Amino acid sequence: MMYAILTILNDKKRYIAGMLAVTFSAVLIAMQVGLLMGLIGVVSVPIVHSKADIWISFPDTPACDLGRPMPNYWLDRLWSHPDIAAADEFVQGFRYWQTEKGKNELCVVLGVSLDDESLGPIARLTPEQRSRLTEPNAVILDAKDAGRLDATQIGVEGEITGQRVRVVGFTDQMRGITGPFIVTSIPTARRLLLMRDDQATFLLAKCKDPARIPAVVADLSSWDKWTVHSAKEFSSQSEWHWIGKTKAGIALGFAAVLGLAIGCSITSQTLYAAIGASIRELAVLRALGISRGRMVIFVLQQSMVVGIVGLLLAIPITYGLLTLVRSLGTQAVMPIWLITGTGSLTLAMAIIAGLFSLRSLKGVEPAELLR
Amino acid sequence: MSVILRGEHLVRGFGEGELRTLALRDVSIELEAGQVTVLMGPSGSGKSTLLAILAGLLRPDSGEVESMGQSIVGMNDAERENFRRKYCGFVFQGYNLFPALTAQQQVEIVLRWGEGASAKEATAKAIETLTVLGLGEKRHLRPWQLSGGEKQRVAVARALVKRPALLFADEPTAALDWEHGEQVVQLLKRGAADDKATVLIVSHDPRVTGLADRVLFLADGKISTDHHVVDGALEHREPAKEAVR
Repeated sequence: MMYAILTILNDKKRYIAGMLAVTFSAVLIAMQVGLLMGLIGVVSVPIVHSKADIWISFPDTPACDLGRPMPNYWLDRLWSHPDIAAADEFVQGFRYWQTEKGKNELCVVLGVSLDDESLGPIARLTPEQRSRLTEPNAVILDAKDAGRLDATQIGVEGEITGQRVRVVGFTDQMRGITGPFIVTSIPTARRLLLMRDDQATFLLAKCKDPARIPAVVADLSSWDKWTVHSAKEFSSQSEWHWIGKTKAGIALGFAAVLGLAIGCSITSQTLYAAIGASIRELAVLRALGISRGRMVIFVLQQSMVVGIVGLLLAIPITYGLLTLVRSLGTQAVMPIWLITGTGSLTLAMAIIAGLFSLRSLKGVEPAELLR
Repeated sequence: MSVILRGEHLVRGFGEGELRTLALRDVSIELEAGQVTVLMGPSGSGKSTLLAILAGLLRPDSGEVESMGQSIVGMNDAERENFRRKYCGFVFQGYNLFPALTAQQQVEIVLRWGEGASAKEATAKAIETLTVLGLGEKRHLRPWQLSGGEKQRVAVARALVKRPALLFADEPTAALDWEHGEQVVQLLKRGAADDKATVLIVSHDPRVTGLADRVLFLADGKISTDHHVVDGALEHREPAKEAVR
């Protein structure tokens, strides 16, 4: 490895193109996936802000914003389960909000239990806000959606399904991917969504022992009238549903492949040219009986060094960009799996680029030195 | 002295069809252990081709090469590579040194990559060889910091470090003035004497002949004359017809 490092250090200008290509690929992939996962992650906001361990939906509900009404008296089945500490209902559905200026916006109405024991997504609501929501037709919005709904002040009214609703407060981190969230009480939500009193969109449960969640999910799943998910699993299922549904996965895959292809070709060309420049020196070693295999190792070591340096350069750039996009109000995430995944993928790309550049070794013929 | 390298009825051509030219026309040659042989001749006479075939770098179209008791013509690439690693050292006209490596590393790399030597062992042998060649003090310098003569001495050290039984040099003095060229040939000669190595030098520089034990002239792909060197003067060995032994 030392000879590979020395060779690169001695000819930095030549190798810098390959390193920057690796950096470009890594930053592109990490940012694309991070931005998309951040955006799609919004889908599971109700799950994230809820204390429930288990989400029960109408059979085969693909995502947490696509629930269908189901009987809420099935809650009794949950209460009667020995491993369940608490059960609750959650009402959700799409409706148009007509602003005071007459504009219509598609919204998601969230009806939650308002007491302290609520398993609904109330984590971002203060006790005072929950108290205010007990008033009929009172709603709370995310402050960042207020402008869109022409409701920038407390007391402003809007109209949903022909009924007047009044803004009683603002919260944050409660924005949906499909439209603004309108948080309200369960009775108000039922009225706005034209649901019967014996219906809910999701049934929620909390287990006495979190370690029993998988067992409880399996146990409850034996009844085929509903689908039972753990909160964690339902969250990622919802996100992947939207990645597939919006074809964002295809766009993402395309961007990643493009990034890798560009990075791979530049890195490969860099190494190819570098080997080409050392061809006579390598030919002498071949004459001295050093195998082509050893030279392959040398080239692959170089590609690894190029890959590692490129990745190291990518770290500050990615974090700089991440800070920038977050300051612009865009959600972007950078979980460990994304960092390690991007690192592994780009390093593999650098090594594959090294393999492509091996064709340059074909020119290493000691007999050529004698002409 | 014992014959260590024998080439018999070697024929080698280049090109195809009407463009085909014969570089070697039925050349036979025997080289003895511990002897420095200089192969001379005009450009295109087939000197380098003969060296390449005797060294296992090139296959003849026909003929046989027996080196160190083994037939190398029939060997596959890996076997020839292994043979060269075990027995052969090379010095070429160009220095062909890695720009990134110091003199010491240029020599070490042969042992590390070729013999799988440990870093410690390779360093010790490299320093020893460079010191013998008068480059002990300059072993940490890179090629751009060395003169032409010093670079060629590093190339000689690279060839000598594994103490090869066969040493091949192709125009080793071509890029040097005579003072440095003579030094390089003397070093090859000393290497031959110390290790009883067989040295074959291809050169068109007549001054090299005074330092050799034997001088062969090649013309039009055939050996034309064969001389011993006695007190720096050429002494006819025997007239060359088809083969020189």
